[in-house]
Amino acid sequence: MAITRRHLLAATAAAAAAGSLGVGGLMMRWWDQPVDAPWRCLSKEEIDFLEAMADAMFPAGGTPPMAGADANAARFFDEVLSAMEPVQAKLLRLLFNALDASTVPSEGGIFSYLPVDERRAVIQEWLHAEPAEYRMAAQSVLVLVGTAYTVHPDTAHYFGPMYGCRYGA
Amino acid sequence: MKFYAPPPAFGFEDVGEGRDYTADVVVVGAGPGGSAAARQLAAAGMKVVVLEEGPTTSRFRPNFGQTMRYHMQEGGGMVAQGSAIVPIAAGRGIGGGSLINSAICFRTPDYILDKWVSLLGDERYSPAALAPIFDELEELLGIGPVTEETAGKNNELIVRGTKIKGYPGGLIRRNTPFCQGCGLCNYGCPINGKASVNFNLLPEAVNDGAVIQADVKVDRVLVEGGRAVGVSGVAHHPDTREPGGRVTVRAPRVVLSCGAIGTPRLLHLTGIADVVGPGVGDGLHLHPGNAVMGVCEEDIYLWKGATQGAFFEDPERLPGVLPHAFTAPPEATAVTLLPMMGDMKSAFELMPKLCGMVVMISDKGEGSVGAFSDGRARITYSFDKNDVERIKAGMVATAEVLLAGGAKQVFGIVHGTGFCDTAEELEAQLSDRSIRDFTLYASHPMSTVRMGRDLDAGGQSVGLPGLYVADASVFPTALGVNPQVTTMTMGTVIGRSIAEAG
Repeated sequence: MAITRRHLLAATAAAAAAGSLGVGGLMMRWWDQPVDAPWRCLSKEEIDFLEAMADAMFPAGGTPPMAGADANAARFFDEVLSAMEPVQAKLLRLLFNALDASTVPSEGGIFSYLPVDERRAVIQEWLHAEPAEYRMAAQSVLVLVGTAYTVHPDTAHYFGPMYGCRYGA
Repeated sequence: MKFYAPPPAFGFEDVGEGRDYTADVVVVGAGPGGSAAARQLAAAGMKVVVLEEGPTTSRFRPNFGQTMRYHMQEGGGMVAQGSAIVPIAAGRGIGGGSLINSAICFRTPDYILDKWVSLLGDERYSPAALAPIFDELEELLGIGPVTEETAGKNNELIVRGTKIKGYPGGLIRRNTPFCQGCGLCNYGCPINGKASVNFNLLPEAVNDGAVIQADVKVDRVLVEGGRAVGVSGVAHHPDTREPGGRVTVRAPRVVLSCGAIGTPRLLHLTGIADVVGPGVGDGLHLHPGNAVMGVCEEDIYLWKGATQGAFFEDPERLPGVLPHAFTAPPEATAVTLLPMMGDMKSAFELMPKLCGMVVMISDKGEGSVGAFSDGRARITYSFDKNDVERIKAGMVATAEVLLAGGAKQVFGIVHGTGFCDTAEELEAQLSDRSIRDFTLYASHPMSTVRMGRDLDAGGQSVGLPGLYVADASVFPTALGVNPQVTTMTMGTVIGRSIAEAG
């Protein structure tokens, strides 16, 4: 069993997480977020959120050296969502919006626009938050952002050789 | 061992505006159970059509987004809710779950089969009766123990620790005759080293005349005059998901092999669950698991080597607990470290030093499977108190094994816990954790359309003649070991039973 699967986003966890944020009225607006062409599944706000996540999670330097901001994380999510069941994809998008807005009461602004150090601190808070649905939902998004980073051509070769058959290297 | 080329299959383009088939039997789902049944039915001279939701050919890349997209039911988004959240994986494609599982092969334990014989009153499921089928499958699939050359350091550490602690266990038996130790089984084997059923059972069915139609998601079972008379579903483009024409297969025998989530979901969606049996969807068992990791001084690279290639057990002190090697791609491993490390780059630097096992239990807890109106599975699950205690006890024993094998510290992937120098320290940290703090996972759903309740001992519905089930739904109880061999065995018995009935 691969841990990645245990972090895959639960559609119902997304709704539970959003509901626990007390943003019920906004949920309806987020449910029908239009897609911003040429993207197939994401709105501009969701793109900004995913890029902000990748930027916060993966600073430049270290191993691998590529910055998360250069990982095209939103493109990866657009591909994955395009193949999901439509309702699953909508609920995942709902979660992006809910997490993005969750910092408004405490930080005074949405996650996407916070300084990078504050975004990193918020991510740590999510990983220790209650209820459990909230933590799991946040972890799921983090794993998927991590996947987007590790499959980028500029980082994949750092992990490809880790596989014995060098597949994907 | 037999290892054929993957079987040909019709796909989305072949459906066009619609396609109708007639057959003696339609099998829905080309996974282990459906493939085993189809092989028996085709060998008996029946005209068999196999419908499969997944694509005509495997779409493997070493990234999980690809696996989710092409080879997991509901795009990998299934989850059970209840006393905890448990993500559930179920495979999709020509080969079903065997495409993306860890290839672990255990025979059904004798004590489980004895229980099933007692429940069903049918000696077909006795250890002696099934032994020849186990033998045949093990020969056909090239099942054998992980080799020392492909084991990798994580499995080696586990074997070492298991020996030191005196537990039965060691390198696991897998259907991977050409394994090179890539560690990519859960993405799909890139070198065709894994004998998933698309290389053996399905080609033999096709050689005997079976036809496979892929890219079709069945959305209804056809019922006329109180009998199942076929199935119908819509083709979907494998890449764009664009819907195409409708495919209908009319057959007097309908075998559902969509898995323990997919089969009851379909029956509920069709509105015939109550007709098929008195408990369709109820009694879901999951084999839930939680991981224990160790930190070593040397590099381990736990994603290298035969996937989940080692195990231990202690049936007396840890009944129904089966710890086996843990595997995860780098990004997922890193995220589990994030709460303790603070940032992903630090997590990436520690990752090569990690070893790990997942503690899987044969659960007493149960859940249920239904269907939302939009077609997704609705899954609930409640843990039994005894299950929680056994997971904790299993994690402590696993920590002992990892430390004995060479780890310097251990940690559980449990909210509110951290690095521990001893197993006793981990035990203390776990003592006040509720099941909601655990990072659980399940890939063995079973027992939702059970023999002895919804089905007779030949796999036929007790309420809807002509409707059969041949997948892990049929297990009368939880299994306690990885289920693919049992699933193929049950598919074989059910297929033979249908063929013999004529």
